[in-house]
Amino acid sequence: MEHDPTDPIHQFQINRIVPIQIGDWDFSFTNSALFMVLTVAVATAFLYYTTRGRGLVPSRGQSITELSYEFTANMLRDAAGTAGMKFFPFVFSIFMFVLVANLFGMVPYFFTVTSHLIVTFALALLVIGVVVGYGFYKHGLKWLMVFVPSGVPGYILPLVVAIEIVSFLSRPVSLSVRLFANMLAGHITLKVFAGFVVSMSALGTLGVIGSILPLLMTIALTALEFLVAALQAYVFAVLTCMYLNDAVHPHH
Amino acid sequence: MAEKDTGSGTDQPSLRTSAESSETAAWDARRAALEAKLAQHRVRNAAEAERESRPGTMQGLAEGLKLGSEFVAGVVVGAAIGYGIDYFAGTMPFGLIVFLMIGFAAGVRNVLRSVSPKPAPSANAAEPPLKDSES
Repeated sequence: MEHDPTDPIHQFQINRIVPIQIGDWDFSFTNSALFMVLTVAVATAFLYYTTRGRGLVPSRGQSITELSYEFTANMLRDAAGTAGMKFFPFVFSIFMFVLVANLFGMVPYFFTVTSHLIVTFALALLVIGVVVGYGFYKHGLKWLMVFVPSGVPGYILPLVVAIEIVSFLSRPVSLSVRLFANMLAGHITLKVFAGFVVSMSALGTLGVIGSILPLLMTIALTALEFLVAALQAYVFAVLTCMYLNDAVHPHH
Repeated sequence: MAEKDTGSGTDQPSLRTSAESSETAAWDARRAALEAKLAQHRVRNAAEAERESRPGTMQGLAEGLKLGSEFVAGVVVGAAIGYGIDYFAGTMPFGLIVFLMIGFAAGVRNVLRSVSPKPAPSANAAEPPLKDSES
């Protein structure tokens, strides 16, 4: 190992595994890409193999799958109504991807896909792209009424519409930054405290005794990070549902 | 709860001799005692649940970060739009000034939208919003 083992940033480094160069662009298969493929593969395999038995009385794995299904379905129905249920595969895929990617990040030596802004921003752009695309497809130009709140006097309407448009455009930013910042900050904190244990232990007996404190902190933070991993996947999915509601019912 | 069920199960037969009626009286007394004890438990459980549901510091922190990111996103997007307009139209400070203010308003709008209680979705308006679906 040539790098400092307690460097908290090293875990986010992108390495090329299979270098691919097409024209001027770098299409290399990186460790990030590898873990995205693994995330999709594990999520798909888990959902497929647990529901293969189709037991009337579900096995443990099957009830996990059924619970996550019903959880997402209720979330979508609450936010976007029955008309929004056609987006269920989309929301469920996003929820499972983010959840599995976040939980993958908790495994030591694994790469956290969602700790890179470009990945979460791509997900958020996908969500907003679907909202805008479906809104125009379903309601035509009348969908733009989503930017015109009802009951606003005419003379401040241009200002309010401008504010609403900026507010709408800020959604993918806040959606992606929130997920990215939570994962990045959590993993850095975890690594910093774990690094204290290593560097303090090198100082002799007193250091080893003293390193119990950061060790306890690391254990507590690990539990917290599992919570954050699940919570952020949930928040991402809930906000996706709420934005889809604007595409399905533009008049509020 | 299970204890209560087994208690009520003992007086199923409707025909009662005098010996049985004294027995049911004893059972009734025991059931009343159990009921009182269970009621005490329920009060304690309710208090416990109430204490658990109160937002702790970590939940408050998560909520604060969420609202903060909503607000900052509005300002950042406003600034980006203003800068973009300036860059292409050559009106250097003015687009940035105007859109920074609009972005500020949009940030406040974002925060207000995420803290205000949500209306029921229009498709099933009969259903009341069951819970605050956002953490």
